[in-house]
Amino acid sequence: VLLKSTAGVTLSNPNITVHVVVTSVPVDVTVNPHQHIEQLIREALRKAEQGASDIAGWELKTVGGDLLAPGERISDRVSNGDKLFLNKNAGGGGACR
Amino acid sequence: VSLVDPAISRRKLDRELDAFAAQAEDYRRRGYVVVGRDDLNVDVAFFAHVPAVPAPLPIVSVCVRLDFTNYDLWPPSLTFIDVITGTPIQPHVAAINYADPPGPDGVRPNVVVNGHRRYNGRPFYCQRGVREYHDHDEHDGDDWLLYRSDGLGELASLCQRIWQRMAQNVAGLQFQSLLAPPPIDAVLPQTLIVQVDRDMMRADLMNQLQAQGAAHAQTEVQGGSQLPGFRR
Repeated sequence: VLLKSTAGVTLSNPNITVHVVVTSVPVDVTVNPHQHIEQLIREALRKAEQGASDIAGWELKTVGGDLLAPGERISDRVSNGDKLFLNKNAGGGGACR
Repeated sequence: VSLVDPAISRRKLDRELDAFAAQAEDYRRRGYVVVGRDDLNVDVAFFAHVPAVPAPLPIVSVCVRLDFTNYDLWPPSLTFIDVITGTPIQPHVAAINYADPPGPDGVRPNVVVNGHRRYNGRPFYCQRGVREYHDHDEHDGDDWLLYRSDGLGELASLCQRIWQRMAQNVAGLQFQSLLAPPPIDAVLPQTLIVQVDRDMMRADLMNQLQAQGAAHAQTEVQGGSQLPGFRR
């Protein structure tokens, strides 16, 4: 994406837009790829009006099911136009008899 | 017991099915498809590829019926069914998340538990967002209403979790024969579905490839390879 400054200088815009399905609500999120996945999760929750300031327990996954950790850099795992799925982790279970 | 007007539950389910349909292409690529709907019941089949000739063979690793009665005052109820007959069955695969830490016994929990006291002893999916979990007396301190707003009972959320635990980790089939003792005295063939930690499998393969690459590089540095056509 190219931007033109008021001085007529063309600048490149590093931001990317990804499609995030928050539980079942699709939102488009534009982020700087140099930020961490954590910022992408926060922005997706905000846009989906989940109102969750705490991202603990939320899991961001690719279409293939790979988990994107909050501490990873966005540019290392995500490209412009990718689709991702954000769901609340249901925790363990299975211990009852 | 009718606590929620079925028309309200139906409308909520319609909304979730519409949201599911909007992503249906990706869900199908993952391997799960809605195969039926009868009022407040939705059947979802989860497919996995297993090695076969001439191409990987898609199999149904598990099929579930989700009952949205009294939704979402209650979470959906989950029953494992035969995809063809629709009758309840024991699932053929375990529900394991390899990202979960192993328990004290070194084994990762299988959230399919046999014998729910309230539901005629049938196997159930023991995880938040599923009615059988919250109805179980061992979880009466973990009320569904604490999680209702998190979307844990939504169709899309449930399907993703079931897929990751019961279909995505399917790697193949294993065949074995058992000799039944007299008076049966017969060979009993069995087919088992093999589940693996895909991340660990991928890491192992990458390590092997890297080791092979390093061995080739070492050979080259030491003065040439035995491989034909390999130039110094």
